[in-house]
Amino acid sequence: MKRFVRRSLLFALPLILVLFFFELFLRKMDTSYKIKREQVASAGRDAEVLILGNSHAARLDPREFSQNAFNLAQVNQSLYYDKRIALKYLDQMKKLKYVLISVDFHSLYFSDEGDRNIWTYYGYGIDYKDPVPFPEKVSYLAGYKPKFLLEFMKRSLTGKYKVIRGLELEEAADLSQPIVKGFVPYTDTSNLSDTYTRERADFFNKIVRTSDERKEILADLDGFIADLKARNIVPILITLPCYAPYRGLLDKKVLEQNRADILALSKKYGVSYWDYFTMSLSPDCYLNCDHLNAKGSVIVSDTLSRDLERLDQVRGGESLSVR
Amino acid sequence: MLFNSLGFAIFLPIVFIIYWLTNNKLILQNVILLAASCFFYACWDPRFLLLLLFSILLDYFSALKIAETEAGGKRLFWLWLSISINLGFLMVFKYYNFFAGSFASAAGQLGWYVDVWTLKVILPVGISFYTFHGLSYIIDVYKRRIAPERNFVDYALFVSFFPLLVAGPIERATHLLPQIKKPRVFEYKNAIDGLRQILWGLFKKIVIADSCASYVNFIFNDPGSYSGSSHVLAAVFFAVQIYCDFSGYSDIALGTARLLGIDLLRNFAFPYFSRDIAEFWRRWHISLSSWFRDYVYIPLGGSRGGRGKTIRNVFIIFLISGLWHGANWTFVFWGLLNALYILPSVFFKTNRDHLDIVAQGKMLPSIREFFSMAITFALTVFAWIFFRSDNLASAFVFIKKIFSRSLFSMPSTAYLNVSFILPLAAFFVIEWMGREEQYAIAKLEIKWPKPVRYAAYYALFFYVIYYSSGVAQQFIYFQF
Repeated sequence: MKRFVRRSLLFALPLILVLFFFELFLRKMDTSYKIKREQVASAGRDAEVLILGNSHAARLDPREFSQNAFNLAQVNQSLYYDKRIALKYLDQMKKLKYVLISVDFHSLYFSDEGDRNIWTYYGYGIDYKDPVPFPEKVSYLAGYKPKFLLEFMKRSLTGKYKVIRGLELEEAADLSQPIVKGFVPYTDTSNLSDTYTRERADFFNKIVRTSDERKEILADLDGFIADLKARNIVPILITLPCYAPYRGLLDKKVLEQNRADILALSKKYGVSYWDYFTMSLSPDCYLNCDHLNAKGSVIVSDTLSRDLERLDQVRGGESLSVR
Repeated sequence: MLFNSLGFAIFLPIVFIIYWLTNNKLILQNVILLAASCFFYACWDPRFLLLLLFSILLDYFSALKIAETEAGGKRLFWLWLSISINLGFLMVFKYYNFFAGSFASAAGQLGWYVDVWTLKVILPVGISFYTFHGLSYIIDVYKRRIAPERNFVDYALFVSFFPLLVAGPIERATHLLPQIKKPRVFEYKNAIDGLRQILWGLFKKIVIADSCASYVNFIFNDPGSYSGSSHVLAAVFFAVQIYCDFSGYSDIALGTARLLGIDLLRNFAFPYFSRDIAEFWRRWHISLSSWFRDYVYIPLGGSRGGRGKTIRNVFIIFLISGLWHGANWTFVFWGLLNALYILPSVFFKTNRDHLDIVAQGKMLPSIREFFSMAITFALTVFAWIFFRSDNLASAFVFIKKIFSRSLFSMPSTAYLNVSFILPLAAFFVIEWMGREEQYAIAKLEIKWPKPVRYAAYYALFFYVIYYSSGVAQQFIYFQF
């Protein structure tokens, strides 16, 4: 028995040391969540415009806005988290005038971010409906999948991430530039393959068709808008552009339902809905079928900025603007 | 508490240490194991414990009643009381909604609209397994193969021993009870062997089965939407997934039991290296197949009553086997398909042609053996399509898609992790090399020098950690 215990411990010792090293590495690692949290608590305090949403809205560049903007959007971030993250920092953002809430094809049909629930928890300390399990709360090693851990280590060791520090980013992130005002810069690459476009549309169509969350998410969003209005902050609902052939593959009934739902909210609270979904952009503005690249990001951010300026000018009359 | 969870990784060492601190005192050993088993089971839902306790009490007292009388009528009464209540629970929890729904649907086809009452209950984990434990015990006592167990703790442990409680192997009282009755003495070699088997089980489950699962789910959840080649790949991956999932579970169960000084029945013997379907069924889920053989097929007359009776018995066995797996017509169809597969060999008495191990003592199989294995594998893969599909309509859509033009196109690579090909290939090679052992890496310590052996263990560990997703994935057979 003693021999067994001794040998088992000896065998396990290198593993325990490696695991301990991994835990330390993960705790010290900078993620885009951590950086955004740090930035929103400093630079974000002076923001007049707050951008929320998933990876579509994450492409909106605050530097292109004439107003002081800050981007808190994140890959796969659901409206559930948009609301809770924003509410956590709103009190500190004394100059905030507008909150841009990105509502895309599937936004009203999902709240669970999967793997990213725990990343969001580590970043902002916000739990999902089913709280994060205890082992994952206390150990980053239990929370991050080993696959991600090794990917982080690989990226860290290659030295590519010296400037940009968020390690869990998509491949198209521009590693030569830092994260500024919560914005992760992206490269100008473009991949609009038919197969990927079809698979992506299939993926989202499946999400919306199998979801039963729409009513709950709409009610949550309704509460968020009411909350913002009560704080004298103007919420603006936006839908960002997608590549035309991809749009054609999305479930039309869902698109109609989305528009009806958003317009109903817009009418109820007298808030603007700016629909850029069918905005005319050349294919080289897209990274892929539903994401803008650097070029597209500049164009759409600039358009949004100008629309905000126009709204700023007519505000006071509380215009209801639906594009 | 899943075997591949952090909870079990904490639970097992604690039980192991407390258990062996008992200094081989039998009563203490059994009480500790029983307490650990109750805790293990209660982790799913403490309410399930009551049902388990009722089942244990029923069989324990029925067996004593059977043994205390010689009167055939009384013995038969207690036997049938136990069998009917045990199967009654199984029927209510597992099959009531299925049969009620099927009845309503059939009535609807005839124009009668029946509003059936359905149960909203959770299927207690492992009910199919511990019910079969109890049934084998009570039948063995009735048949006077064994004496009834008078020590309640020992009997309760026989039914609820945590490594086998939720997904087998389905033990026999004749095999497990004698081990429970004797104090276990710690043996270094056994413990190391147990750890090795656990490691191999984890590798099969976490690295192979769970990796296959993402692609399998992707295609099976939307049958007909992808190319025929994608469907073929998904069906093959499901065959690999279900084998690695269930045999991986069995390896962890057997390894865990061995750590505690107990040998459980072997459940898998490299079934995909079978040369015909009969051999496959001797190597797949052995504890269930032999249970059906001993407690259903042979009492029905087996192959002794002429061809007609043999065919009937084969169909009954596979029909029950299908239904045992779940309340769905897909399982029934899967069972019947396997009955059709096996029938020619029963008919021509070739079902015991391959009792040995394929290419025993050789590195490679002969061409004939290779093709026999390939055909057997293809047949099982085809049957698995029904097993995995949500319903029969989906299964037929799936099969129709396979036999379409797109069979010759490149399969979809979405949800296919290319880096997984290396461990998958290594897995098949290791399984082939180790097919003469109890499990693939059983003789690693004898065959390989120490540094290479340790490197192999660390490599397996690395893969297990690398592929573990943080959240433990449920074993497929927990639903049965």
